[in-house]
Amino acid sequence: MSKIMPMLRLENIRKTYPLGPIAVEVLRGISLEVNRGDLVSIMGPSGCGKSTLMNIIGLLDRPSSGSYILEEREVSGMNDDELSTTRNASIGFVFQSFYLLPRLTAAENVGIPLVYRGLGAQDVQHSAREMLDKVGIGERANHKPNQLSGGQQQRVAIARALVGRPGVILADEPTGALDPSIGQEIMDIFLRLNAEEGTTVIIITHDPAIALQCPRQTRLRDGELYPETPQEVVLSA
Amino acid sequence: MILSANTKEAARSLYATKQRSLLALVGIIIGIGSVIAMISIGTIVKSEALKQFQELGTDFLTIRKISSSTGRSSIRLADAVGLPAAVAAISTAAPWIQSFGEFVYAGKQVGSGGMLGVTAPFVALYKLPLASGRFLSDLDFRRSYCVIGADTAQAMRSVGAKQIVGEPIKLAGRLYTIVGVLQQTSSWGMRPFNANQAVFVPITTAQSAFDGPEIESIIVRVRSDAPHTAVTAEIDRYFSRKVKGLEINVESAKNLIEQMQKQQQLFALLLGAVGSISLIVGGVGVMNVMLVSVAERRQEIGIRRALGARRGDIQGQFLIESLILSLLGGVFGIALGFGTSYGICLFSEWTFLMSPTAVVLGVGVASGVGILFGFWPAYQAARLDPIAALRAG
Repeated sequence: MSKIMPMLRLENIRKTYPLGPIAVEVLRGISLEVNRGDLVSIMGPSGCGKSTLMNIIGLLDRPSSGSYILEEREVSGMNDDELSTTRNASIGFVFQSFYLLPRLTAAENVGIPLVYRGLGAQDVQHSAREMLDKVGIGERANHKPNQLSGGQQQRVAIARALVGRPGVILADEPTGALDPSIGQEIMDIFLRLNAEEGTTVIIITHDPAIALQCPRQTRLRDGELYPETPQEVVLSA
Repeated sequence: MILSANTKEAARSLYATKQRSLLALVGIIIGIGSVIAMISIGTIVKSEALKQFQELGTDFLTIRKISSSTGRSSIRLADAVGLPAAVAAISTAAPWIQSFGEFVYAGKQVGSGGMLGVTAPFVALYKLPLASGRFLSDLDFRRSYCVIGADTAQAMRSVGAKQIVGEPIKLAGRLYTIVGVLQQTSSWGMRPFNANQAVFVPITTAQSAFDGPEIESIIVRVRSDAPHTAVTAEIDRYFSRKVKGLEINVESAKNLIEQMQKQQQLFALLLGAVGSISLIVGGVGVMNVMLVSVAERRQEIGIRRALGARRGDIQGQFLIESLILSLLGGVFGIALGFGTSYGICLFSEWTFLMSPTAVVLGVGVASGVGILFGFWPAYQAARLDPIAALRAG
């Protein structure tokens, strides 16, 4: 192979929602290439279409038009089961409010993606604990979410996103529910994973302090995506 | 594996809402309980009937006077005793008279119940085994002799009788001498009396001693190859020739079996109806609890979908939950059903049996209800839009 394929490539993605008699266009032709090993931020104010874009990248929603190639496969024509399987294999979600299942222990929460992959309980346990160690809370493996602090819960969520070794980690406002210092600890984990292991990460945020730390930055404004050179942002900040 | 993880998860979720889960089970428990009781009592009654027929055989007919018979016409003793001679297919005939009274021995009451005036063949026809002494014979003509049942003999012993045969006993105010004691038998069986609590006197004595000295019924044994309908017709002709205006009814053991089956069918129908209705109510209860569970866990469903659960995985998770719920109800229901039939057996003096068919059926019906009524909530859970589900909460 002479040409290196990108991890994911969006081409002219549009998303229109019907709102009564009129149609509202939330995304107006988004094009984005993310390569293996990228750490990209998508920054924008609330209501700019960030969530919609994240849902489309995360295969939770379908674009109205446009092409989306994820790990060399066109996903726009996939049925629901194929989307679920691809989501399980290629996407690791980290949400603003962690979204851990309250009845499950930290290790069990981390293991969920592997359970849906059909792995045996032993393998799931083993991988889950390994991931918890990697994010630095291996000793809390048997705690329930309500016995953990916000920062610890988000670490569990990151372990859960990593456990299936997906192509890309999709983090939606990962520090939004945390104190700035704790948020920075979470951000440091992403930076470390990216630098040390080449993990591909897309961080969606409204917070310039987070976006600024990413080697590659984009800005979403009125349904369109603009690349930004890091220096420019540093100067204007 | 997804299945074992789903099962564990379902059990945990049910345990977390145990009060709600248990309440939802009441309908299922009653439903399965009725079905189990129905099957189990059916089996028990069948085996009881079999036991009785094995004891008595099916080759006998009961002749009864119909109360609408005109005037003072009645079955005469001589006509009854003459039956085997007149009708070739009949081998033995035993007319009997019944009255009721108290039995008094040594000034103490030792029993009360049926006093039967009988002839010698009676004991053979009803297969009454003797414990001691002898049964009545034709030579006891109008003598005050009697044979007593096992319970009465036991009662006499408990008030101090050392020897039973030869002792005097007062039956409905008249003094008799005991000539024989019967062994313990099954209480009623196919017999129209309880042999253990009855006393037997010569029919000729009964005719003068009892209040209602009329022969109501004759039991006859038929040669096994004789068709019952032909014999019945012949008996009818015999009596219409002997006594003017006498109408009789002939009942065969087969009729009795049919009656018993009809009764049991009615019983089964009733329990079946109660069972089906409770199962529907129970199923709706399960569905309701599952719908609540789905609504409460919308966000969980969204999270699971985001982490790669397919619709089928979500549907499976909730189906397993309702299946476990229903099976739990099934287990309690089976216990309730067997408890109920055990109680009925105690009451009816039947031998209790555990029917494995009932257990299999109970588990099967419970699973069926769980899947049937769990399907809609599970389907709804599976069709939830992941984004909307994630935002819920």
